[in-house]
Amino acid sequence: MRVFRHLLYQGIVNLGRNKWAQVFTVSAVTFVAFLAGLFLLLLFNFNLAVRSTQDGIQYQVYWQSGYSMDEINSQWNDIRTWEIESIRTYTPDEALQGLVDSMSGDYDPGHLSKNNPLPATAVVEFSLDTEQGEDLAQEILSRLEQLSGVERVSYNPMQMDMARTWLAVTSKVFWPLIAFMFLITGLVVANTLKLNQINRRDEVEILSLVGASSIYIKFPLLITGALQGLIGGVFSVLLLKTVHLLIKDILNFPPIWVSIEFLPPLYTGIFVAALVGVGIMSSFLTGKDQVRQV
Amino acid sequence: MINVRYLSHSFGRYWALKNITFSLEKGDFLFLTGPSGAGKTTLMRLLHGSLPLQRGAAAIAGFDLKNLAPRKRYLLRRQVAIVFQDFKILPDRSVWDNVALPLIVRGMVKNQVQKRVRAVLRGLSLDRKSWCLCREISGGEQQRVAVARAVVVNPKVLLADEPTGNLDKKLSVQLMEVFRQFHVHGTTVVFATHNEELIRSQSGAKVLALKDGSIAGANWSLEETGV
Repeated sequence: MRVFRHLLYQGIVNLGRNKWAQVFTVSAVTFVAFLAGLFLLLLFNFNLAVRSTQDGIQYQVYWQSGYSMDEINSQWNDIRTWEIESIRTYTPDEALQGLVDSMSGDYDPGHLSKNNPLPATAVVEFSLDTEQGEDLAQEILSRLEQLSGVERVSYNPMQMDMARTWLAVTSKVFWPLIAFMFLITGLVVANTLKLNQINRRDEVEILSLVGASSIYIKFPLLITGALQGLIGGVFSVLLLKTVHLLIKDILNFPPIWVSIEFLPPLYTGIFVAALVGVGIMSSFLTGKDQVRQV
Repeated sequence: MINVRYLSHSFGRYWALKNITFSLEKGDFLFLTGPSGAGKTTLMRLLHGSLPLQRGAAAIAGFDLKNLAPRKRYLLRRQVAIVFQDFKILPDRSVWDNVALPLIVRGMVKNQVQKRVRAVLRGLSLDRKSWCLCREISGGEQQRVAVARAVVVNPKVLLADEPTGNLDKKLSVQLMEVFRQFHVHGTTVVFATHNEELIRSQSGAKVLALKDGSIAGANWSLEETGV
């Protein structure tokens, strides 16, 4: 435990050695991470904006006029158990009342109420997500069309197309782009930290020559790398938050009305944790190389 | 304590050591001598595990160097200390920190570290420089720091590669006295030097002369030592 505490302390103290080299390293990590974070923030907000088109996709279902309401009610209850967000139902009488309400008020539907020509309808609303995607939309459509008494199902093809397009963009561009961005950030940060730790090659050599075990040499390096990643990560998030405060309402005017959101805490946590991980990994590889050479 | 058989080592096509064979008992004092490029430093580095064995065999302080895994090398270095020509000390740490380093890596408690470091620094007239950074002291003082760091652990074998190279005559004699004290207490010492005066001052010491990587002469019979 005493040795562990000593090594932990050494890892922290190492940050105070070669102060300018540390300042430059942490600055480089901060700015690279900030650029990556900015990119992530833009993608996140773009995703939010486009996803709003995926929500509230509607199928409007029309039953044959005069079809048994008992049967239709039973079908509505069945639909409510499907993977949908909501269903709004209209009996022929409700539809007629709606029509009257939408008129100027002096319209008398008396002649229609005895022989109502309007069919029963339902508006089935659901959203597409990347996991189920197009399959769900198709499945709901075909199930609705197969219900007995259903005359037709209508929907907005443009909205469906938008949703389908975004699903394709998400799976083929969005996630690969984020993965690629993390890879580039990881490589730049890892190389920056590695260059910083190469400065400590002499110390590693001397520790090895006086009988320090491999763990003894590598552990403080890992702590230093983790701290460099953590400090760079926290600074980059602070910088990102500052920039967010400056630009959050930049698009919040008519007719766009888009307020830029900050990354959720989970994303921010993963972002900083990834930088700490890169710091540990690059320190581990550098330490391994250096120990092997002496 | 040290048993070297048919040891050869090359750097590319250049053979730095050729068929070196000798052995030393516990408490022996060996002067390794020869001109620059004779192979003294290469032999020291091989014995310290800093270079891999290519040909031949060597055992030191109970460690078979041929079969010593890299991850176990630190165990050898806890028994075999070395003083390098170029000191290999940490310039941005204090004299005290440099000398205490081998004790700290062994996990020794603070009181014992302080006791040992203080005694060794006093023995090498470095006690007044304890808290100076090593980059701020003279070359001769840095050399003594390197020696202090090696002897502070009471090693079974002490390898010293030209440790008096940067010292004046008075300090060289003082340093020799430190090595002699360790030798008296049973430490096996291998001391590489050009300085014939030093060799003459240590009566009873063995001398092995190297030239162009081969043994050019010895003041004891190599066969007698069981090789």
